[in-house]
Amino acid sequence: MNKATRAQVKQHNRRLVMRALYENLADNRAALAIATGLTKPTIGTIISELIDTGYVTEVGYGSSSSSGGKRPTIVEFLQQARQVIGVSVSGDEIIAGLAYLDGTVIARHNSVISPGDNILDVLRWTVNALMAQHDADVLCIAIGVPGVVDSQTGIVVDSRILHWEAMPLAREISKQYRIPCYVSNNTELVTRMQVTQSDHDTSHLVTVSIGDSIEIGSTFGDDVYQHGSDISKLEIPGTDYTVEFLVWKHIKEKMKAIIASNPDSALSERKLTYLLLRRAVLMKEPAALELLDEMATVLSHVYGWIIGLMRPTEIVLAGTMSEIGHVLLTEVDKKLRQRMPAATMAQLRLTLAQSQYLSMQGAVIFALQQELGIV
Amino acid sequence: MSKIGIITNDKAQVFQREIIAGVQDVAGDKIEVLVDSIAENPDTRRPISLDIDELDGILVISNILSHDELQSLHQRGKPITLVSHQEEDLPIAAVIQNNTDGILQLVDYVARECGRTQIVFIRGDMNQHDGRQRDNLFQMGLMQHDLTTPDDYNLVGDFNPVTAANSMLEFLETGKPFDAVIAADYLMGCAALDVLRHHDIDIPGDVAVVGFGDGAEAEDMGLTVVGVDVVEIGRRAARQLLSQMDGMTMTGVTWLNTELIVRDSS
Repeated sequence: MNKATRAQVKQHNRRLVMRALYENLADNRAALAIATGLTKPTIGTIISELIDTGYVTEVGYGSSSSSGGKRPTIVEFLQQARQVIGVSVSGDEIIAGLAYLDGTVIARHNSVISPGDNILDVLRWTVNALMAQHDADVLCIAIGVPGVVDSQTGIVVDSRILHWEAMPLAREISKQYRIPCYVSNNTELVTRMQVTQSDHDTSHLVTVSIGDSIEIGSTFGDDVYQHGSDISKLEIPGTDYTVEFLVWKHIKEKMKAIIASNPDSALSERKLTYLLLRRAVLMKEPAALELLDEMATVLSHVYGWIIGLMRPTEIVLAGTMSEIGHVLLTEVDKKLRQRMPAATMAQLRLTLAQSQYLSMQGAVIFALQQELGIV
Repeated sequence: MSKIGIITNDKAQVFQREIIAGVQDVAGDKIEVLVDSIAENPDTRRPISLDIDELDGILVISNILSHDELQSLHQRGKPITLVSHQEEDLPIAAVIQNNTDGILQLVDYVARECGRTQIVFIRGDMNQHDGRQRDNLFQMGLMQHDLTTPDDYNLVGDFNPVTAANSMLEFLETGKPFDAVIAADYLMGCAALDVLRHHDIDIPGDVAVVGFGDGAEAEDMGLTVVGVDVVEIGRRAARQLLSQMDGMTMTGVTWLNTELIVRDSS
């Protein structure tokens, strides 16, 4: 066994112990040995290291066994021992969160990306702002971006939205802050968050995130498949549409056209959002209903491809479009039922992920998983 | 010894006082904190009296300075942190309580948890960023729950409890049905609660009352709120400023979390 492999084994064992403590599977050395399958001396060494580094503390004594043995020393994982930073970068905004090891975000920082800005600079300024707020050592940074990412190397291979190609993002950020940095696709991070939050089986879950791009993320067994990508340019067969019809700037133009032809439209009441479109749909404005139908047509094709290729049990609509809510999913469901086998549809759930922070929160989870093997 | 200047309207007001306490907590005895209270009388704002050249950093509480004044300060190259407001087209970092999550949390609680549909909103000062933003967010919250309210259910409050109480009284006199009141700040919420209780309206049976922000008054009156730790905002703002004084560049807004605190009024 060479030195590198011994280090890997040591790290693996350390992660097993941290995870067992984090998930409250065991609270003393003997119980940890049973829960992890490691020997008591190994557990003893790891716990000593974790106490020395501040991750674990001894909090008293448990009950003695029925045979009257020595009372075990109770150990506890300290959620506030370190902090991590999770970041989500989109075309016009960066959202970052500073979180403790239980994933609780204690401060969020938003920076606007204006045309002409150097996005890497804005990203650094955003991280700087959260670095100013840390209450414990920052362990690592995880960043989500739109586009194709090689998470193993931390390179953004191609991000049309950010105009980045072969950007060694993890290396750049890691070099500046001297802590590890991990990079992933935003929609993968949303999927990761769904898996973490969900109380049902997520082993066949697909996330479709629609905002300023259209991206797919999916689970692969117990993990998130790390090859999410942008599908905006795909054409819808038999129509003049590409999937890009669904991006916000196009929907917004359509909404403006409705207002131009009908100044009394509910859409003219305030700043254009998907929520406002939902209101116009619920008021049964013909032009709004027509736009909803177009959106459902394109989205149902996207869902049809996903169902045909992947047979998921759940498709989650995320991104800003999810604000429109069930009025859109109901229409998509109707159109899918006209084309897909009833048995397939019976096993499928169409759901919404409505928080705009999911990608950032997913980045926090990704950071904890990559660095400590917990969550 | 480094020097921080705090520019505010009135250092004696509750919010400002707590922010300054938070800043002083972080500054300790290593950094001198100078406070310039330039609008203790709202009608006669006076010029900044601090010697800007002597300062290592500046905190500006609420939107007491105009865009041009802030731009001028920024151009002098001094680190600046804005507290509780932002200037969107200037690259000055800010620390703000999370209005978005807070107001949406209140609407969600009133609509979903309390099942209320006829909601009266008491607005803040619409000349202030916070007032306009909370009004927009209230409307957004209604849309999220597919609710609408007539225009006359939006009452004038101006972040002033007396104005809020008068508006609540006038609304009661119209006899229009309502089952909830959301106030853009807790002091206006307390004022509305007081009026409703004096009119023997069953709280929360007939009307649930909630407000944004928290303080001793809200706790004493049993008002449900989304709480903001104002002293903590001051601490975080000081940290942001000190970090800039150490050479860290930053822009954008750091948002601090709010927490729903359910009391007797809902």
